[in-house]
Amino acid sequence: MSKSFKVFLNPIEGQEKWLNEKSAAGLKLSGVGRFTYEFTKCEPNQYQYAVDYIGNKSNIQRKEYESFLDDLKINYYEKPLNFGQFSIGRTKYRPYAGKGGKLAASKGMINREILILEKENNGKTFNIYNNVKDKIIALKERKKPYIYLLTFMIAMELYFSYINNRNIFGNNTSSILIGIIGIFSLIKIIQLSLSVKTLNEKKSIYE
Amino acid sequence: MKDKIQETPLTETALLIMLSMYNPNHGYGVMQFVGEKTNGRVVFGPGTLYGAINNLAKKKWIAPCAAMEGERKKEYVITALGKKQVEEELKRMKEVYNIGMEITQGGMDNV
Repeated sequence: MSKSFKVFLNPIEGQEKWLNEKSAAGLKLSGVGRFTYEFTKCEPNQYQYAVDYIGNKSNIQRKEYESFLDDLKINYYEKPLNFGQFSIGRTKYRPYAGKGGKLAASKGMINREILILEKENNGKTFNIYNNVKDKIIALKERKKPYIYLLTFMIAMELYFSYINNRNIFGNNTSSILIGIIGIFSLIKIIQLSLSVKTLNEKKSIYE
Repeated sequence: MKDKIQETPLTETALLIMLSMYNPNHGYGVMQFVGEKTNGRVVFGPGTLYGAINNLAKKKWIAPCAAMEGERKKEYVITALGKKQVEEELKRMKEVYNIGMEITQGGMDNV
């Protein structure tokens, strides 16, 4: 068994690519932590991985989806999304989630915003969504945490500048940190928006 | 009363799922049915299949079957309303097919 520590700026495509590279090298995922991954040996490319964002789902919806994956004989690992949510004690506020998913207070909801899906390689690409419409919906859902994170960062900067009586986005540590997180969120929003735009152009021709 | 049979064209995903449910079927069975009937051309992703089944059930075009004791997998079957949707869609597809044949091959197909 081997263990890896890894942080992803792109928790969906980045993580998916990395796990498939591990599989190509003959490593099968056997466990995950917040930033850690455990692997066991397997045949090269024996397994395929895809990563799904489920932070918009309520606990009941997540359980239903996981039960459905069980029916399809798809193995899965739950992982947290490490941004775009605000914690007070053991309660997380996910403003971007759907009905029933905004307040993650139960043990079943916290730290389960991402699912890593694993299945035996059948030689075909492993896509979670196989039509344009579903891909657009999924991208829009993924964009929401970044929008809220950016909004939150702007609000924080306005608040700090007001209580400290200083200029907005001045030359100080908190402004720089907020600025970096804000720019990161903005880049992700632009990237996801461009992907949605490209898919929207295809939507009128392809399913 | 609102006419509920004016919702064509259906997506290929919705149509294939409903066709796979003329006999009670579950998610894995739907995937196998579609893979076999399309010779692997159509492969449903789990997210797409899950969303489509839920949406079709919300529209009452398919309905969950009563669970058998010890049976974990959730099975669905197409409803009368769903069958009407499929019939309408096949009529539409036949019309499009005939137009295509007429233009490209100079004759109508009598399928």
